Amino acid sequence: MKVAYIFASQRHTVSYVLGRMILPQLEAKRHGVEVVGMFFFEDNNYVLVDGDVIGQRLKKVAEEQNILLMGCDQCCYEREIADRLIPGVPIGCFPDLYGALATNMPDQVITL
Amino acid sequence: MEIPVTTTLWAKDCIERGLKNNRLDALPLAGAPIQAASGLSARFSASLTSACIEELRFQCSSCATLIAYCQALVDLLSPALEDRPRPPSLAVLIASVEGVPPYRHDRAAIALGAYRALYFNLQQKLEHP
Repeated sequence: MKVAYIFASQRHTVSYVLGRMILPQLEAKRHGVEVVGMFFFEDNNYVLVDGDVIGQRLKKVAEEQNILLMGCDQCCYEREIADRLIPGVPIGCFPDLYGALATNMPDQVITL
Repeated sequence: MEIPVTTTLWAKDCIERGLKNNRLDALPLAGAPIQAASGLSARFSASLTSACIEELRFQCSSCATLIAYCQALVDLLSPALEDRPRPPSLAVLIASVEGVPPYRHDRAAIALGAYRALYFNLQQKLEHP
Protein backbone atom coordinates (compact mmCIF):
# COMPACT_ATOMS: atom_id res chain seq x y z
CA MET A 1 0.00 0.00 0.00
CA LYS A 2 1.18 3.48 -0.83
CA VAL A 3 0.55 6.40 1.52
CA ALA A 4 1.25 10.10 1.62
CA TYR A 5 1.54 12.04 4.86
CA ILE A 6 0.32 15.58 5.38
CA PHE A 7 1.81 17.18 8.47
CA ALA A 8 -0.91 19.64 9.41
CA SER A 9 -1.22 19.79 13.17
CA GLN A 10 1.08 21.48 15.64
CA ARG A 11 1.06 18.65 18.18
CA HIS A 12 4.66 17.52 18.48
CA THR A 13 4.14 16.11 15.03
CA VAL A 14 7.59 16.56 13.56
CA SER A 15 9.93 15.98 16.49
CA TYR A 16 7.92 13.06 17.85
CA VAL A 17 5.67 11.38 15.28
CA LEU A 18 8.04 11.95 12.39
CA GLY A 19 11.34 12.17 14.22
CA ARG A 20 10.89 9.29 16.63
CA MET A 21 8.43 7.03 14.86
CA ILE A 22 8.08 7.33 11.10
CA LEU A 23 11.63 8.36 10.25
CA PRO A 24 13.46 5.66 12.26
CA GLN A 25 11.11 3.08 10.79
CA LEU A 26 11.79 4.32 7.28
CA GLU A 27 15.53 4.31 7.94
CA ALA A 28 15.24 0.71 9.11
CA LYS A 29 12.92 -0.13 6.21
CA ARG A 30 10.25 -1.44 8.57
CA HIS A 31 7.59 1.27 8.36
CA GLY A 32 5.10 -1.20 6.93
CA VAL A 33 3.87 0.71 3.90
CA GLU A 34 5.44 2.55 0.99
CA VAL A 35 5.53 6.28 1.62
CA VAL A 36 5.31 8.21 -1.64
CA GLY A 37 5.11 11.75 -0.31
CA MET A 38 5.12 14.10 2.62
CA PHE A 39 3.60 17.59 2.62
CA PHE A 40 4.20 20.08 5.39
CA PHE A 41 1.95 22.84 6.73
CA GLU A 42 2.54 25.63 9.22
CA ASP A 43 5.51 25.38 11.58
CA ASN A 44 6.10 21.79 10.44
CA ASN A 45 7.91 23.36 7.49
CA TYR A 46 10.85 24.28 9.69
CA VAL A 47 11.98 20.66 9.43
CA LEU A 48 12.68 21.34 5.75
CA VAL A 49 15.04 24.25 6.38
CA ASP A 50 18.54 23.44 5.18
CA GLY A 51 20.60 22.22 8.12
CA ASP A 52 17.74 20.94 10.26
CA VAL A 53 18.82 17.72 11.95
CA ILE A 54 15.64 15.76 11.31
CA GLY A 55 15.36 17.30 7.87
CA GLN A 56 18.80 16.06 6.86
CA ARG A 57 17.86 12.50 7.79
CA LEU A 58 14.51 12.88 6.08
CA LYS A 59 16.09 14.09 2.87
CA LYS A 60 18.47 11.11 2.82
CA VAL A 61 15.63 8.63 3.27
CA ALA A 62 13.49 10.46 0.71
CA GLU A 63 16.21 10.21 -1.91
CA GLU A 64 16.80 6.53 -1.19
CA GLN A 65 13.12 5.58 -1.19
CA ASN A 66 11.72 8.03 -3.78
CA ILE A 67 9.59 10.00 -1.34
CA LEU A 68 8.34 13.41 -2.43
CA LEU A 69 8.94 16.14 0.13
CA MET A 70 7.15 19.44 -0.29
CA GLY A 71 6.49 22.45 1.88
CA CYS A 72 3.36 24.57 1.69
CA ASP A 73 4.37 27.66 -0.25
CA GLN A 74 2.29 30.18 1.68
CA CYS A 75 3.41 28.71 5.01
CA CYS A 76 7.07 28.92 3.92
CA TYR A 77 6.72 32.46 2.58
CA GLU A 78 5.04 33.54 5.81
CA ARG A 79 8.01 32.20 7.78
CA GLU A 80 10.53 33.62 5.29
CA ILE A 81 12.09 30.21 4.70
CA ALA A 82 10.88 29.51 1.15
CA ASP A 83 14.35 30.15 -0.27
CA ARG A 84 16.18 28.44 2.58
CA LEU A 85 14.95 24.88 2.34
CA ILE A 86 17.04 21.76 1.84
CA PRO A 87 18.26 21.86 -1.77
CA GLY A 88 15.90 19.96 -4.02
CA VAL A 89 12.89 20.24 -1.70
CA PRO A 90 10.24 22.40 -3.38
CA ILE A 91 7.46 24.56 -2.08
CA GLY A 92 4.02 24.35 -3.57
CA CYS A 93 0.33 24.05 -2.98
CA PHE A 94 -2.25 21.35 -3.65
CA PRO A 95 -2.03 21.52 -7.46
CA ASP A 96 1.74 21.06 -7.23
CA LEU A 97 1.40 18.22 -4.73
CA TYR A 98 -1.15 16.32 -6.79
CA GLY A 99 0.81 16.95 -9.95
CA ALA A 100 4.00 15.65 -8.39
CA LEU A 101 2.24 12.55 -7.09
CA ALA A 102 0.34 11.92 -10.32
CA THR A 103 2.77 9.26 -11.51
CA ASN A 104 2.96 7.59 -8.09
CA MET A 105 -0.46 8.09 -6.52
CA PRO A 106 -0.96 7.06 -2.91
CA ASP A 107 -3.75 4.72 -1.89
CA GLN A 108 -4.28 6.74 1.25
CA VAL A 109 -3.49 10.27 2.31
CA ILE A 110 -2.95 10.47 6.04
CA THR A 111 -3.13 13.80 7.85
CA LEU A 112 -1.10 14.04 11.03
CA MET B 1 10.27 56.09 -16.66
CA GLU B 2 12.37 53.02 -15.72
CA ILE B 3 11.97 51.59 -12.24
CA PRO B 4 15.40 51.26 -10.58
CA VAL B 5 16.33 48.46 -8.19
CA THR B 6 16.04 50.54 -5.06
CA THR B 7 12.96 49.01 -3.61
CA THR B 8 13.01 45.69 -1.83
CA LEU B 9 9.81 43.90 -1.08
CA TRP B 10 9.25 40.71 0.84
CA ALA B 11 7.31 37.90 -0.80
CA LYS B 12 5.24 37.29 2.31
CA ASP B 13 4.09 40.92 2.47
CA CYS B 14 3.25 40.95 -1.23
CA ILE B 15 1.23 37.76 -0.85
CA GLU B 16 -0.69 39.22 2.10
CA ARG B 17 -1.77 42.30 0.13
CA GLY B 18 -2.01 40.47 -3.16
CA LEU B 19 -4.47 37.86 -1.93
CA LYS B 20 -6.90 40.66 -1.13
CA ASN B 21 -6.21 42.78 -4.20
CA ASN B 22 -6.49 39.80 -6.54
CA ARG B 23 -10.19 39.66 -5.71
CA LEU B 24 -10.90 43.23 -6.85
CA ASP B 25 -12.80 43.72 -10.10
CA ALA B 26 -10.81 44.55 -13.18
CA LEU B 27 -10.53 48.22 -14.20
CA PRO B 28 -11.74 49.53 -17.57
CA LEU B 29 -8.48 49.34 -19.53
CA ALA B 30 -7.23 45.75 -19.53
CA GLY B 31 -4.26 44.06 -21.10
CA ALA B 32 -4.51 40.70 -22.78
CA PRO B 33 -4.34 37.83 -20.30
CA ILE B 34 -1.04 36.01 -20.32
CA GLN B 35 -1.09 32.27 -19.82
CA ALA B 36 1.96 30.10 -19.27
CA ALA B 37 2.37 26.48 -20.31
CA SER B 38 1.86 25.58 -16.65
CA GLY B 39 -1.68 26.93 -16.89
CA LEU B 40 -1.00 29.90 -14.65
CA SER B 41 -2.33 33.18 -15.99
CA ALA B 42 -2.36 36.85 -15.13
CA ARG B 43 -3.90 40.05 -16.42
CA PHE B 44 -3.39 43.66 -15.46
CA SER B 45 -5.92 46.44 -15.79
CA ALA B 46 -5.90 50.17 -15.19
CA SER B 47 -8.10 53.19 -14.82
CA LEU B 48 -7.06 56.39 -16.55
CA THR B 49 -7.52 60.09 -15.94
CA SER B 50 -6.49 62.20 -18.91
CA ALA B 51 -3.36 60.44 -20.10
CA CYS B 52 -2.28 59.17 -16.71
CA ILE B 53 -2.78 55.86 -14.98
CA GLU B 54 -4.88 56.41 -11.89
CA GLU B 55 -4.96 52.90 -10.51
CA LEU B 56 -3.44 49.54 -11.37
CA ARG B 57 -4.98 46.15 -10.60
CA PHE B 58 -4.40 42.53 -11.47
CA GLN B 59 -6.25 39.23 -11.62
CA CYS B 60 -4.19 36.07 -11.67
CA SER B 61 -4.24 32.37 -10.88
CA SER B 62 -4.22 31.44 -7.22
CA CYS B 63 -0.50 30.73 -7.05
CA ALA B 64 1.10 32.44 -4.05
CA THR B 65 4.29 33.30 -5.91
CA LEU B 66 2.48 34.69 -8.94
CA ILE B 67 0.26 36.77 -6.67
CA ALA B 68 3.38 38.06 -4.93
CA TYR B 69 4.99 39.17 -8.20
CA CYS B 70 1.81 40.80 -9.50
CA GLN B 71 1.41 42.70 -6.24
CA ALA B 72 5.10 43.59 -6.30
CA LEU B 73 4.63 45.17 -9.72
CA VAL B 74 1.75 47.24 -8.39
CA ASP B 75 3.88 48.28 -5.41
CA LEU B 76 6.86 49.16 -7.58
CA LEU B 77 4.91 51.08 -10.20
CA SER B 78 2.30 52.84 -8.06
CA PRO B 79 4.55 55.72 -6.96
CA ALA B 80 5.06 56.65 -10.60
CA LEU B 81 1.71 55.85 -12.20
CA GLU B 82 1.17 59.37 -13.49
CA ASP B 83 4.34 58.99 -15.55
CA ARG B 84 2.98 55.83 -17.21
CA PRO B 85 5.90 53.67 -16.06
CA ARG B 86 7.46 51.31 -18.57
CA PRO B 87 7.62 47.68 -17.58
CA PRO B 88 10.74 46.97 -15.55
CA SER B 89 13.12 44.29 -16.71
CA LEU B 90 12.64 40.74 -15.48
CA ALA B 91 15.89 40.99 -13.53
CA VAL B 92 14.67 44.11 -11.75
CA LEU B 93 11.38 42.53 -10.77
CA ILE B 94 13.04 39.37 -9.49
CA ALA B 95 15.66 41.37 -7.58
CA SER B 96 12.97 43.51 -5.98
CA VAL B 97 11.22 40.64 -4.23
CA GLU B 98 13.10 38.87 -1.46
CA GLY B 99 12.40 35.34 -0.35
CA VAL B 100 11.41 33.59 -3.58
CA PRO B 101 13.35 30.42 -4.43
CA PRO B 102 14.97 30.49 -7.88
CA TYR B 103 12.77 27.77 -9.37
CA ARG B 104 9.76 30.02 -8.76
CA HIS B 105 11.22 33.04 -10.54
CA ASP B 106 9.33 32.01 -13.68
CA ARG B 107 6.21 33.46 -12.09
CA ALA B 108 7.82 36.88 -12.41
CA ALA B 109 7.88 36.44 -16.18
CA ILE B 110 4.13 35.79 -16.22
CA ALA B 111 3.39 38.85 -14.11
CA LEU B 112 5.68 41.00 -16.20
CA GLY B 113 4.21 39.73 -19.45
CA ALA B 114 0.76 40.66 -18.20
CA TYR B 115 1.83 44.18 -17.33
CA ARG B 116 3.54 44.52 -20.71
CA ALA B 117 0.27 43.54 -22.36
CA LEU B 118 -1.52 46.30 -20.47
CA TYR B 119 1.24 48.78 -21.28
CA PHE B 120 0.94 47.95 -24.96
CA ASN B 121 -2.82 48.60 -24.87
CA LEU B 122 -2.21 51.83 -22.99
CA GLN B 123 0.24 53.05 -25.64
CA GLN B 124 -2.22 52.10 -28.39
CA LYS B 125 -4.99 54.02 -26.66
CA LEU B 126 -2.87 57.13 -26.26
CA GLU B 127 -1.59 57.05 -29.85
CA HIS B 128 -5.04 56.36 -31.31
CA PRO B 129 -7.56 57.97 -28.96
